[in-house]
Amino acid sequence: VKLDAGDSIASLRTTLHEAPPLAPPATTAELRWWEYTRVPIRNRMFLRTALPFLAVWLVTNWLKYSKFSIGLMIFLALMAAAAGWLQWAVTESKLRDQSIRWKRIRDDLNASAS
Amino acid sequence: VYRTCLHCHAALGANDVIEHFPVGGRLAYDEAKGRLWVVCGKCRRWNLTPLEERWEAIEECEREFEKTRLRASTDNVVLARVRGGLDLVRIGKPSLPEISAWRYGRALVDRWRRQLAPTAALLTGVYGMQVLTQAEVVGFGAGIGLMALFAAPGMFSMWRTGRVKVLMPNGRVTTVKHRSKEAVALEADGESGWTLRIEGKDGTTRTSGVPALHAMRGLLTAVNFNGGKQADVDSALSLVQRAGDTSRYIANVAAVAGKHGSANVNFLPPDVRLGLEIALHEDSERLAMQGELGLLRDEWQLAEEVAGISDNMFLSESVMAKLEGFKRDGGQ
Repeated sequence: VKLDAGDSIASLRTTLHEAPPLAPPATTAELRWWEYTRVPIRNRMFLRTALPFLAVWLVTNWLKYSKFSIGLMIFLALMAAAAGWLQWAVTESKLRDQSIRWKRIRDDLNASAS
Repeated sequence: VYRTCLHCHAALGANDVIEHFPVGGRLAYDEAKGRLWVVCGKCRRWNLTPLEERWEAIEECEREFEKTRLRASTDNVVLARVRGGLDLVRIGKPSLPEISAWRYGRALVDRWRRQLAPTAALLTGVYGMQVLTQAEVVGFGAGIGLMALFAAPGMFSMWRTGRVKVLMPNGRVTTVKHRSKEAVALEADGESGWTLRIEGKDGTTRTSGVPALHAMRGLLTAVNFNGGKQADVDSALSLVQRAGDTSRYIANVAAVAGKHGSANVNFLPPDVRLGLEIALHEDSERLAMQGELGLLRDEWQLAEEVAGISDNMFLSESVMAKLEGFKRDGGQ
Protein backbone atom coordinates (compact mmCIF):
# COMPACT_ATOMS: atom_id res chain seq x y z
CA VAL A 1 0.00 0.00 0.00
CA LYS A 2 1.07 3.57 -0.61
CA LEU A 3 1.39 5.44 2.64
CA ASP A 4 1.49 9.14 3.26
CA ALA A 5 1.21 11.46 6.20
CA GLY A 6 -2.56 11.68 5.72
CA ASP A 7 -5.10 13.82 7.46
CA SER A 8 -6.05 13.84 11.07
CA ILE A 9 -9.28 13.01 12.82
CA ALA A 10 -10.44 14.02 16.24
CA SER A 11 -10.86 11.32 18.79
CA LEU A 12 -9.35 10.62 22.15
CA ARG A 13 -9.44 11.92 25.70
CA THR A 14 -13.07 12.86 25.88
CA THR A 15 -14.26 14.53 29.05
CA LEU A 16 -16.92 13.53 31.53
CA HIS A 17 -19.32 16.10 30.10
CA GLU A 18 -19.04 14.63 26.62
CA ALA A 19 -20.22 11.18 27.67
CA PRO A 20 -23.52 10.05 26.12
CA PRO A 21 -26.63 10.18 28.36
CA LEU A 22 -27.41 7.10 30.42
CA ALA A 23 -29.92 4.87 28.66
CA PRO A 24 -32.08 3.36 30.03
CA PRO A 25 -32.32 5.71 33.02
CA ALA A 26 -31.00 4.58 36.39
CA THR A 27 -33.24 2.19 38.30
CA THR A 28 -34.14 2.56 41.97
CA ALA A 29 -31.69 -0.17 42.91
CA GLU A 30 -28.91 1.57 40.99
CA LEU A 31 -29.69 4.88 42.66
CA ARG A 32 -29.54 3.15 46.03
CA TRP A 33 -26.17 1.68 45.05
CA TRP A 34 -24.99 5.16 44.07
CA GLU A 35 -26.03 6.65 47.41
CA TYR A 36 -23.59 4.26 49.04
CA THR A 37 -20.85 4.44 46.39
CA ARG A 38 -20.73 8.21 46.05
CA VAL A 39 -19.46 8.93 49.59
CA PRO A 40 -15.71 8.33 49.01
CA ILE A 41 -15.90 9.91 45.54
CA ARG A 42 -17.59 13.01 46.97
CA ASN A 43 -15.09 13.27 49.82
CA ARG A 44 -12.15 12.97 47.46
CA MET A 45 -13.52 15.56 45.05
CA PHE A 46 -14.35 17.90 47.92
CA LEU A 47 -10.83 17.72 49.31
CA ARG A 48 -9.21 18.05 45.90
CA THR A 49 -11.06 21.28 45.30
CA ALA A 50 -11.20 22.78 48.78
CA LEU A 51 -7.62 22.14 49.93
CA PRO A 52 -5.82 23.77 46.97
CA PHE A 53 -8.29 26.68 47.18
CA LEU A 54 -7.52 27.15 50.86
CA ALA A 55 -3.77 26.74 50.35
CA VAL A 56 -3.62 29.25 47.50
CA TRP A 57 -5.44 31.95 49.44
CA LEU A 58 -3.58 31.31 52.70
CA VAL A 59 -0.18 31.49 51.04
CA THR A 60 -1.24 34.54 49.05
CA ASN A 61 -2.33 36.28 52.24
CA TRP A 62 0.87 35.35 54.02
CA LEU A 63 3.06 36.62 51.20
CA LYS A 64 1.13 39.87 50.96
CA TYR A 65 0.52 40.78 54.62
CA SER A 66 2.73 38.39 56.65
CA LYS A 67 -0.05 37.84 59.18
CA PHE A 68 -3.23 35.84 59.70
CA SER A 69 -6.41 36.71 61.55
CA ILE A 70 -8.93 34.23 62.91
CA GLY A 71 -11.73 35.98 61.00
CA LEU A 72 -9.87 35.63 57.72
CA MET A 73 -9.08 31.98 58.40
CA ILE A 74 -12.73 31.21 59.05
CA PHE A 75 -13.79 33.15 55.97
CA LEU A 76 -11.29 31.30 53.75
CA ALA A 77 -12.26 27.93 55.20
CA LEU A 78 -15.92 28.64 54.46
CA MET A 79 -15.09 29.77 50.92
CA ALA A 80 -13.01 26.63 50.36
CA ALA A 81 -15.86 24.47 51.61
CA ALA A 82 -18.26 26.30 49.33
CA ALA A 83 -15.94 25.75 46.36
CA GLY A 84 -15.74 22.04 47.20
CA TRP A 85 -19.53 21.68 47.46
CA LEU A 86 -20.07 23.68 44.28
CA GLN A 87 -17.69 21.46 42.34
CA TRP A 88 -19.53 18.38 43.59
CA ALA A 89 -22.95 19.85 42.81
CA VAL A 90 -21.93 20.63 39.24
CA THR A 91 -20.40 17.21 38.59
CA GLU A 92 -22.50 14.75 40.56
CA SER A 93 -25.16 13.89 37.98
CA LYS A 94 -22.54 13.19 35.29
CA LEU A 95 -20.42 11.18 37.69
CA ARG A 96 -23.48 9.20 38.76
CA ASP A 97 -24.35 8.38 35.14
CA GLN A 98 -20.77 7.36 34.43
CA SER A 99 -20.50 5.19 37.52
CA ILE A 100 -23.80 3.45 36.78
CA ARG A 101 -22.81 2.89 33.16
CA TRP A 102 -19.47 1.42 34.24
CA LYS A 103 -21.22 -0.81 36.75
CA ARG A 104 -23.60 -2.08 34.06
CA ILE A 105 -20.66 -2.80 31.73
CA ARG A 106 -18.75 -4.69 34.43
CA ASP A 107 -21.84 -6.63 35.48
CA ASP A 108 -22.61 -7.60 31.87
CA LEU A 109 -19.01 -8.65 31.27
CA ASN A 110 -19.01 -10.82 34.38
CA ALA A 111 -22.40 -12.28 33.43
CA SER A 112 -21.24 -13.12 29.90
CA ALA A 113 -18.08 -14.73 31.29
CA SER A 114 -19.90 -17.10 33.63
CA VAL B 1 13.57 -4.81 10.43
CA TYR B 2 12.49 -5.05 14.04
CA ARG B 3 13.45 -1.66 15.41
CA THR B 4 10.13 -0.09 16.36
CA CYS B 5 7.59 -0.89 19.06
CA LEU B 6 4.41 -2.45 17.67
CA HIS B 7 2.29 -0.42 20.06
CA CYS B 8 3.71 3.07 20.47
CA HIS B 9 6.08 3.10 17.47
CA ALA B 10 9.00 4.25 19.63
CA ALA B 11 12.51 3.04 18.78
CA LEU B 12 13.29 -0.17 20.66
CA GLY B 13 16.96 0.66 21.08
CA ALA B 14 19.87 -1.68 20.59
CA ASN B 15 22.15 -4.03 22.46
CA ASP B 16 25.58 -5.35 21.58
CA VAL B 17 25.27 -8.49 23.71
CA ILE B 18 22.97 -10.78 21.74
CA GLU B 19 24.62 -11.20 18.37
CA HIS B 20 21.60 -12.83 16.71
CA PHE B 21 19.20 -10.18 17.97
CA PRO B 22 20.91 -6.82 18.59
CA VAL B 23 17.61 -5.00 19.17
CA GLY B 24 16.22 -3.72 22.50
CA GLY B 25 17.51 -2.97 25.97
CA ARG B 26 15.29 -5.55 27.65
CA LEU B 27 14.57 -8.96 26.18
CA ALA B 28 12.19 -11.59 27.55
CA TYR B 29 12.37 -15.19 26.50
CA ASP B 30 10.75 -18.54 27.12
CA GLU B 31 13.20 -21.27 26.24
CA ALA B 32 10.69 -24.11 26.49
CA LYS B 33 8.21 -22.53 24.09
CA GLY B 34 10.79 -20.81 21.91
CA ARG B 35 9.43 -17.30 22.37
CA LEU B 36 11.40 -14.10 22.36
CA TRP B 37 10.02 -10.63 23.09
CA VAL B 38 11.53 -7.15 23.06
CA VAL B 39 10.22 -4.99 25.90
CA CYS B 40 9.64 -1.40 24.79
CA GLY B 41 11.48 1.11 26.99
CA LYS B 42 8.79 3.74 26.47
CA CYS B 43 5.42 1.99 26.82
CA ARG B 44 6.81 -1.15 28.53
CA ARG B 45 4.84 -3.49 26.33
CA TRP B 46 6.18 -6.79 25.09
CA ASN B 47 6.76 -7.21 21.36
CA LEU B 48 6.86 -10.83 20.23
CA THR B 49 9.49 -11.39 17.56
CA PRO B 50 8.55 -13.35 14.45
CA LEU B 51 12.08 -14.56 13.88
CA GLU B 52 12.60 -17.97 12.35
CA GLU B 53 16.14 -17.95 13.73
CA ARG B 54 15.01 -16.99 17.22
CA TRP B 55 16.42 -20.21 18.68
CA GLU B 56 19.99 -18.94 18.30
CA ALA B 57 19.05 -15.69 19.99
CA ILE B 58 17.30 -17.54 22.82
CA GLU B 59 20.32 -19.78 23.33
CA GLU B 60 22.53 -16.70 23.49
CA CYS B 61 20.17 -15.11 26.02
CA GLU B 62 20.32 -18.25 28.13
CA ARG B 63 24.14 -18.29 28.02
CA GLU B 64 24.28 -14.64 29.12
CA PHE B 65 21.68 -15.30 31.79
CA GLU B 66 23.75 -18.16 33.24
CA LYS B 67 26.74 -15.84 33.58
CA THR B 68 25.07 -13.21 35.75
CA ARG B 69 24.18 -13.23 39.42
CA LEU B 70 22.35 -9.94 39.49
CA ARG B 71 18.82 -11.27 39.56
CA ALA B 72 15.35 -10.65 40.92
CA SER B 73 12.74 -13.35 40.71
CA THR B 74 9.34 -14.77 41.54
CA ASP B 75 8.77 -18.55 41.41
CA ASN B 76 9.03 -18.85 37.64
CA VAL B 77 10.04 -15.48 36.23
CA VAL B 78 13.56 -14.12 36.69
CA LEU B 79 14.89 -10.69 35.79
CA ALA B 80 18.65 -10.47 35.29
CA ARG B 81 20.91 -7.58 34.28
CA VAL B 82 23.75 -8.77 32.08
CA ARG B 83 26.78 -6.93 30.72
CA GLY B 84 26.20 -3.82 28.63
CA GLY B 85 23.12 -2.89 30.67
CA LEU B 86 20.92 -5.42 28.87
CA ASP B 87 18.03 -6.79 30.98
CA LEU B 88 16.86 -10.35 30.43
CA VAL B 89 13.52 -11.68 31.63
CA ARG B 90 13.61 -15.47 31.74
CA ILE B 91 10.23 -17.20 31.74
CA GLY B 92 10.01 -20.62 33.38
CA LYS B 93 6.69 -22.39 33.80
CA PRO B 94 4.57 -19.70 35.36
CA SER B 95 0.85 -19.84 35.99
CA LEU B 96 -1.27 -17.38 34.00
CA PRO B 97 -1.69 -14.89 36.88
CA GLU B 98 2.07 -14.89 37.51
CA ILE B 99 3.04 -14.24 33.91
CA SER B 100 0.27 -11.64 33.55
CA ALA B 101 1.44 -9.87 36.68
CA TRP B 102 4.99 -9.73 35.25
CA ARG B 103 4.01 -8.72 31.77
CA TYR B 104 1.28 -6.22 32.48
CA GLY B 105 0.99 -5.48 36.17
CA ARG B 106 4.29 -3.72 36.72
CA ALA B 107 4.30 -2.05 33.32
CA LEU B 108 0.84 -0.55 33.74
CA VAL B 109 1.44 0.62 37.29
CA ASP B 110 4.83 2.07 36.25
CA ARG B 111 3.14 4.02 33.49
CA TRP B 112 0.66 5.40 36.01
CA ARG B 113 3.48 6.46 38.35
CA ARG B 114 5.45 8.03 35.52
CA GLN B 115 2.72 10.57 34.75
CA LEU B 116 2.68 11.85 38.34
CA ALA B 117 5.77 14.07 37.91
CA PRO B 118 4.53 16.09 34.88
CA THR B 119 1.09 16.40 36.49
CA ALA B 120 2.65 17.70 39.72
CA ALA B 121 4.75 20.19 37.73
CA LEU B 122 1.65 21.37 35.88
CA LEU B 123 -0.31 21.92 39.10
CA THR B 124 2.65 23.66 40.75
CA GLY B 125 2.89 26.02 37.78
CA VAL B 126 -0.80 26.90 37.76
CA TYR B 127 -1.19 27.36 41.52
CA GLY B 128 2.22 29.02 41.85
CA MET B 129 1.34 31.62 39.27
CA GLN B 130 -1.99 32.27 40.96
CA VAL B 131 -0.35 32.77 44.37
CA LEU B 132 2.54 34.93 43.21
CA THR B 133 0.45 37.23 41.02
CA GLN B 134 -2.35 37.62 43.59
CA ALA B 135 0.22 38.41 46.28
CA GLU B 136 1.83 40.89 43.87
CA VAL B 137 5.21 39.22 44.34
CA VAL B 138 5.62 39.07 40.57
CA GLY B 139 3.80 40.85 37.77
CA PHE B 140 1.19 39.15 35.63
CA GLY B 141 3.58 38.65 32.71
CA ALA B 142 6.25 37.09 34.90
CA GLY B 143 3.58 34.88 36.48
CA ILE B 144 2.50 33.62 33.08
CA GLY B 145 6.15 32.94 32.21
CA LEU B 146 6.65 31.04 35.44
CA MET B 147 3.53 28.99 34.84
CA ALA B 148 4.66 28.17 31.30
CA LEU B 149 8.02 27.03 32.66
CA PHE B 150 6.46 24.59 35.11
CA ALA B 151 3.56 23.57 32.90
CA ALA B 152 5.65 22.86 29.79
CA PRO B 153 6.66 19.26 30.69
CA GLY B 154 3.08 18.35 31.60
CA MET B 155 1.60 20.01 28.53
CA PHE B 156 4.20 18.40 26.28
CA SER B 157 3.53 15.01 27.84
CA MET B 158 -0.23 15.40 27.30
CA TRP B 159 0.28 16.60 23.72
CA ARG B 160 2.64 13.74 22.91
CA THR B 161 0.57 10.96 24.45
CA GLY B 162 -2.79 12.31 23.30
CA ARG B 163 -2.15 11.59 19.64
CA VAL B 164 -1.31 8.44 17.80
CA LYS B 165 -0.69 7.46 14.20
CA VAL B 166 -3.13 4.91 12.86
CA LEU B 167 -2.98 3.15 9.52
CA MET B 168 -6.37 3.42 7.82
CA PRO B 169 -7.69 0.58 5.65
CA ASN B 170 -7.22 2.77 2.55
CA GLY B 171 -3.48 2.90 3.25
CA ARG B 172 -3.41 6.43 4.65
CA VAL B 173 -1.82 7.16 7.98
CA THR B 174 -4.06 9.27 10.17
CA THR B 175 -3.22 11.17 13.32
CA VAL B 176 -5.82 10.49 15.92
CA LYS B 177 -5.83 13.19 18.55
CA HIS B 178 -7.81 14.87 21.30
CA ARG B 179 -11.54 15.38 21.43
CA SER B 180 -14.70 13.96 19.86
CA LYS B 181 -17.29 11.45 20.89
CA GLU B 182 -17.68 8.72 18.35
CA ALA B 183 -14.73 9.10 16.01
CA VAL B 184 -13.30 5.69 16.84
CA ALA B 185 -15.65 2.98 18.05
CA LEU B 186 -15.43 -0.71 18.85
CA GLU B 187 -18.36 -2.66 17.42
CA ALA B 188 -19.53 -6.25 17.77
CA ASP B 189 -19.35 -8.33 14.63
CA GLY B 190 -20.80 -11.80 14.18
CA GLU B 191 -17.96 -13.14 12.06
CA SER B 192 -14.73 -11.81 13.51
CA GLY B 193 -16.09 -10.90 16.94
CA TRP B 194 -15.33 -7.19 16.65
CA THR B 195 -14.66 -4.43 14.14
CA LEU B 196 -13.34 -0.91 14.45
CA ARG B 197 -15.37 2.00 13.10
CA ILE B 198 -13.34 5.08 12.26
CA GLU B 199 -14.97 8.34 11.21
CA GLY B 200 -12.49 10.44 9.29
CA LYS B 201 -12.39 12.97 6.50
CA ASP B 202 -13.31 10.30 3.96
CA GLY B 203 -16.42 9.26 5.87
CA THR B 204 -17.05 6.19 8.01
CA THR B 205 -14.71 3.23 7.62
CA ARG B 206 -15.06 -0.18 9.20
CA THR B 207 -12.03 -2.38 9.52
CA SER B 208 -11.22 -5.80 10.97
CA GLY B 209 -8.32 -8.27 10.96
CA VAL B 210 -4.70 -7.08 11.03
CA PRO B 211 -5.41 -3.39 10.22
CA ALA B 212 -8.04 -3.26 12.99
CA LEU B 213 -5.70 -5.00 15.42
CA HIS B 214 -2.94 -2.56 14.58
CA ALA B 215 -5.21 0.49 14.77
CA MET B 216 -6.69 -0.67 18.05
CA ARG B 217 -3.24 -1.16 19.56
CA GLY B 218 -2.33 2.38 18.56
CA LEU B 219 -5.53 3.77 20.03
CA LEU B 220 -5.15 1.90 23.28
CA THR B 221 -1.57 3.12 23.50
CA ALA B 222 -2.90 6.67 23.61
CA VAL B 223 -5.98 5.98 25.75
CA ASN B 224 -4.10 3.83 28.28
CA PHE B 225 -0.81 5.67 28.10
CA ASN B 226 -0.92 6.57 31.76
CA GLY B 227 -1.45 2.94 32.73
CA GLY B 228 -3.50 2.31 35.84
CA LYS B 229 -3.46 1.99 39.58
CA GLN B 230 -2.76 -1.42 41.08
CA ALA B 231 -6.47 -1.98 41.82
CA ASP B 232 -7.45 -1.26 38.19
CA VAL B 233 -4.72 -3.54 36.87
CA ASP B 234 -5.81 -6.35 39.21
CA SER B 235 -9.42 -5.89 38.13
CA ALA B 236 -8.38 -5.91 34.44
CA LEU B 237 -6.46 -9.17 34.87
CA SER B 238 -9.41 -10.68 36.69
CA LEU B 239 -11.89 -9.65 33.95
CA VAL B 240 -9.72 -11.16 31.22
CA GLN B 241 -9.12 -14.36 33.14
CA ARG B 242 -12.80 -14.73 33.98
CA ALA B 243 -13.71 -14.49 30.29
CA GLY B 244 -11.52 -17.57 29.83
CA ASP B 245 -10.35 -16.58 26.38
CA THR B 246 -8.86 -13.31 25.15
CA SER B 247 -10.79 -13.28 21.85
CA ARG B 248 -13.98 -13.86 23.78
CA TYR B 249 -13.16 -11.01 26.13
CA ILE B 250 -12.69 -8.55 23.23
CA ALA B 251 -15.92 -9.72 21.56
CA ASN B 252 -17.76 -9.45 24.90
CA VAL B 253 -16.46 -5.91 25.47
CA ALA B 254 -17.49 -4.90 21.93
CA ALA B 255 -21.01 -6.26 22.46
CA VAL B 256 -21.47 -4.82 25.96
CA ALA B 257 -19.94 -1.41 25.09
CA GLY B 258 -22.30 -0.96 22.14
CA LYS B 259 -25.28 -1.91 24.28
CA HIS B 260 -24.44 0.78 26.84
CA GLY B 261 -23.48 3.57 24.43
CA SER B 262 -19.77 3.30 25.21
CA ALA B 263 -18.51 2.16 21.80
CA ASN B 264 -15.82 4.83 22.00
CA VAL B 265 -13.13 3.06 24.03
CA ASN B 266 -12.53 6.22 26.02
CA PHE B 267 -15.96 5.87 27.66
CA LEU B 268 -15.17 2.38 28.96
CA PRO B 269 -14.20 1.86 32.62
CA PRO B 270 -10.40 2.07 33.11
CA ASP B 271 -10.05 -1.58 34.14
CA VAL B 272 -12.03 -2.76 31.09
CA ARG B 273 -9.81 -0.60 28.84
CA LEU B 274 -6.67 -2.03 30.42
CA GLY B 275 -8.16 -5.51 30.05
CA LEU B 276 -8.72 -4.78 26.37
CA GLU B 277 -5.06 -3.88 25.95
CA ILE B 278 -3.97 -7.08 27.69
CA ALA B 279 -6.42 -9.21 25.68
CA LEU B 280 -5.40 -7.70 22.33
CA HIS B 281 -1.79 -8.36 23.20
CA GLU B 282 -2.39 -11.96 24.19
CA ASP B 283 -4.72 -12.58 21.27
CA SER B 284 -2.27 -11.51 18.59
CA GLU B 285 0.44 -13.65 20.18
CA ARG B 286 -1.88 -16.62 20.36
CA LEU B 287 -2.59 -16.31 16.63
CA ALA B 288 1.12 -16.02 15.94
CA MET B 289 1.87 -19.09 18.00
CA GLN B 290 -0.80 -21.03 16.15
CA GLY B 291 1.42 -20.78 13.13
CA GLU B 292 0.21 -17.51 11.70
CA LEU B 293 3.62 -15.85 11.83
CA GLY B 294 2.72 -13.96 8.68
CA LEU B 295 0.24 -11.93 10.71
CA LEU B 296 2.94 -10.94 13.16
CA ARG B 297 5.32 -10.04 10.36
CA ASP B 298 2.61 -7.89 8.78
CA GLU B 299 2.18 -6.06 12.07
CA TRP B 300 5.90 -5.39 12.41
CA GLN B 301 5.98 -4.22 8.81
CA LEU B 302 3.10 -1.81 9.49
CA ALA B 303 4.78 -0.52 12.65
CA GLU B 304 8.01 0.13 10.74
CA GLU B 305 6.20 1.91 7.91
CA VAL B 306 4.13 4.07 10.25
CA ALA B 307 7.27 4.93 12.24
CA GLY B 308 9.07 5.74 8.99
CA ILE B 309 6.30 8.12 7.99
CA SER B 310 6.34 9.75 11.42
CA ASP B 311 10.10 10.22 11.16
CA ASN B 312 9.95 11.65 7.66
CA MET B 313 6.75 13.66 7.63
CA PHE B 314 8.45 16.93 8.56
CA LEU B 315 11.17 16.63 5.93
CA SER B 316 10.74 18.25 2.53
CA GLU B 317 10.96 16.33 -0.74
CA SER B 318 14.36 17.87 -1.53
CA VAL B 319 15.81 16.86 1.84
CA MET B 320 14.48 13.32 1.39
CA ALA B 321 16.00 13.15 -2.10
CA LYS B 322 19.36 14.30 -0.73
CA LEU B 323 19.24 11.70 2.03
CA GLU B 324 18.46 9.00 -0.53
CA GLY B 325 21.41 10.24 -2.58
CA PHE B 326 23.73 10.04 0.45
CA LYS B 327 22.53 6.49 1.14
CA ARG B 328 23.25 5.48 -2.47
CA ASP B 329 26.70 7.06 -2.41
CA GLY B 330 27.58 5.36 0.84
CA GLY B 331 27.70 8.63 2.78
CA GLN B 332 30.33 10.25 0.52
